[in-house]
Amino acid sequence: MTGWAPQGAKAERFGDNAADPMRAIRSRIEFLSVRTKIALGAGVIALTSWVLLAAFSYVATGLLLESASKKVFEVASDLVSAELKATYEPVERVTAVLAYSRLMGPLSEEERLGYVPALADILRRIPAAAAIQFGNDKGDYFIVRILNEALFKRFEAPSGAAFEADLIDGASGRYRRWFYDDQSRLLATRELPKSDYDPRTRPWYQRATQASGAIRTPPYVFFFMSEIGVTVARFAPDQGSVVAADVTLASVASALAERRVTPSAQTVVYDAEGVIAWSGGTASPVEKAGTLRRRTIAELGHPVLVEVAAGKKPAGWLVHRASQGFNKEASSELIIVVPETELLADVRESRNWMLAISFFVLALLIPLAWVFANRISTPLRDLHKAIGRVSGGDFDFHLPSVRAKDEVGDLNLALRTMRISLKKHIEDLATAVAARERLAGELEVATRIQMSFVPGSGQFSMALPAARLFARLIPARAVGGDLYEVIELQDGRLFVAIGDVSDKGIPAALLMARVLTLAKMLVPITSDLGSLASLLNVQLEEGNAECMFTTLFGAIIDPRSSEVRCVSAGHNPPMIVRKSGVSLVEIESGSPLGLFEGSRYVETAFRLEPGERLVLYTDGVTEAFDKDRNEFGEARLVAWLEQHGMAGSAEELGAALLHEVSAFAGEAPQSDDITVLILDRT
Amino acid sequence: MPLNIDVHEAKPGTTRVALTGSLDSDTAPQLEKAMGALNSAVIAFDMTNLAFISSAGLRVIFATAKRQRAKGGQIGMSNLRPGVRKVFEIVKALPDMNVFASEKEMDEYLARFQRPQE
Repeated sequence: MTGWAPQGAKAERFGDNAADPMRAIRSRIEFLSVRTKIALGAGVIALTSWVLLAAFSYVATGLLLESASKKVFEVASDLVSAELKATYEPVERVTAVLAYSRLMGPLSEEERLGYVPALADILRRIPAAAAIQFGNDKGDYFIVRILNEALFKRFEAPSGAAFEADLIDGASGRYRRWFYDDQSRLLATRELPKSDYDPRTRPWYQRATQASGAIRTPPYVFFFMSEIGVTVARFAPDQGSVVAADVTLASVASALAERRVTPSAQTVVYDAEGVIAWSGGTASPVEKAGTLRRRTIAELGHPVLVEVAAGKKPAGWLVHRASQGFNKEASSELIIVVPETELLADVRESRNWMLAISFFVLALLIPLAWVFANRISTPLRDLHKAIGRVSGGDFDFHLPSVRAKDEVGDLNLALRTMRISLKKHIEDLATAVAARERLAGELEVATRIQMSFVPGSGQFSMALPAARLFARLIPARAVGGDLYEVIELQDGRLFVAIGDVSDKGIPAALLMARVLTLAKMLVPITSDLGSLASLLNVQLEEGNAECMFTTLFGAIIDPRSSEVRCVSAGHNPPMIVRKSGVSLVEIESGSPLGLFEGSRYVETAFRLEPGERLVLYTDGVTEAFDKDRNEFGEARLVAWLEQHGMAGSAEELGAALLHEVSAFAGEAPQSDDITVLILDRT
Repeated sequence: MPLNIDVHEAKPGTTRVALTGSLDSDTAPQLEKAMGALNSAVIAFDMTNLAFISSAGLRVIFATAKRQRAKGGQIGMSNLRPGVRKVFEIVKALPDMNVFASEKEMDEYLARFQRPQE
């Protein structure tokens, strides 16, 4: 990864960040490449989404558990009620019909037995109905039963017997029994010992006579059948008879078992006397001291139900309790227990599937983001490399072919354009540099040529019998406008001149050359310096639209008479250094040469005795600036000459003065050409 | 030191040029360019804030004056600082230039000069 800094640099950089781990992490992230950042971001988003999804699904599962179990229990509860109802309702209807039948009235034995096939048929058709019985106010009792296994054994029924009918005469106590096969054919008749059984003492009889419609006893154990059931009874007041049907609840138990909510779910219906029905199987009654009674919940042997019956909440099980309106008098209760794991097994499984799939899909985001980020960062890397090559000066670098019209594509296009313009720019620059170098070369030649115009090529020393001369010209640029001239005239006199052309550089240099050429020509043939200046002025003024001009101070020294005649065209007055002090040459100056047509110049004369010095200079000396824009100035020059003007030779004085000016300017660039000419009269 | 050139037409035919800073060989070409673009009967230089003038600056002033004279126009300068005035004195140029102590003086003179042309 190119984005990583060297290990050493990192350690140094993060060394002071120990106190702020977040900042350290942020700094670390900054070093990651774009694609890593995007992939990392995608990963963080995916993980966060998944965790949220998982948390939400767990909460949702809890809520689902609550609502699902509520619904499940309602349905189960309704099912039990419906099953119970379905069990005894047909029996109730039959008793209602029978209550209005002739069976309720006084009948002979034969007449009663004549009804046995019909009653047997009813019992066959209604499986829950185990027996139909009649009792009247005289104590007569008639019952028709289906022979189940227990009854068959107990009654020692003849083989093939399916039904039996008992008749007890209330008055005599005579007790007889008839056995029938399943085709209702009489198989045997038995005379039993006298019975003191009186239907009028039975709870079903007594309760039926007190009620206007059908009554239903609480569940109890059918002694002979060893089964739990209820008795439905109805009283016919006009006949003084009660018809009753025994209904076993074994079918309820099997219905509960069939319709379990989940495989391990348990449903139990019970009341104060014990269990009525249980999904776990037939809750067979328990025999104790010769009587049968119903089992308690504890006796069912199911630990969860035992816990629930004790009022505890078993862990991992959902418990539903509801009162079952099974019997008006004795309230029964329904308990359903379902293991949570089973109830929500499907939900949990699908949730786990969902979480697994969503994890997989979200995890897929990371490589996907990586791939997409790569498609962005790869061209960016290529562009980065390409730009790196530009920095190295290679403009023929290969740009990646990016076809996309997005930001990366734009960047690529911009870089393409940049490459072209940079290349052109560099070429232009090279041309310009070449031109400048050529110009610099030409200027160097020009410098040498210009310097050849003045005596000594800008640094001149001369010793004559009557005077020693030193002159030095330092142009501010390659070429300049300052000038000096020294001409030995044939008659032994010496002509010296100093001048300053307006401005600097090439225009000034051109005029300087012209002035010197004209002067060289005119000096030998003019006797008077005033005329010389006037002639020069006329020549230079002609056609001078640019107003280029030059100042000039010219002097002719006659060594024999020590007389100096001079003229000034707007030039700084030279200084005379004597033992007595420094003084300016008093001269009436004219205008600079070349400016005004018809300017007048007057020659002035003064004496320069041996031992005295004449200092000529241009304004490059007095107008030298230091870095704070302070001027060297005329006063400073005078003061300096007062102190040093007589010391050393002409050369030494000149060098010292130039050094003084240079030291004054310091680091400030030389603003103008500087020329000094010193004449030491000997 | 840079040069600031403020050119504005004070009234029809009169352009006021206020110079601030240093008119030397580095800045003179700026003024020359500005003057070349001017076409005004009267050019009035306000030198109040001109700190320095070199021979290159003088040349531009003179060239402007020459051009004005050639087309019958006029130039004037006012409020020269002592240093600047001295430069003009050294080259003996003052007699040929219209130099005034104050703008008021210059205005009066230039107004007089302009009247016949109106």
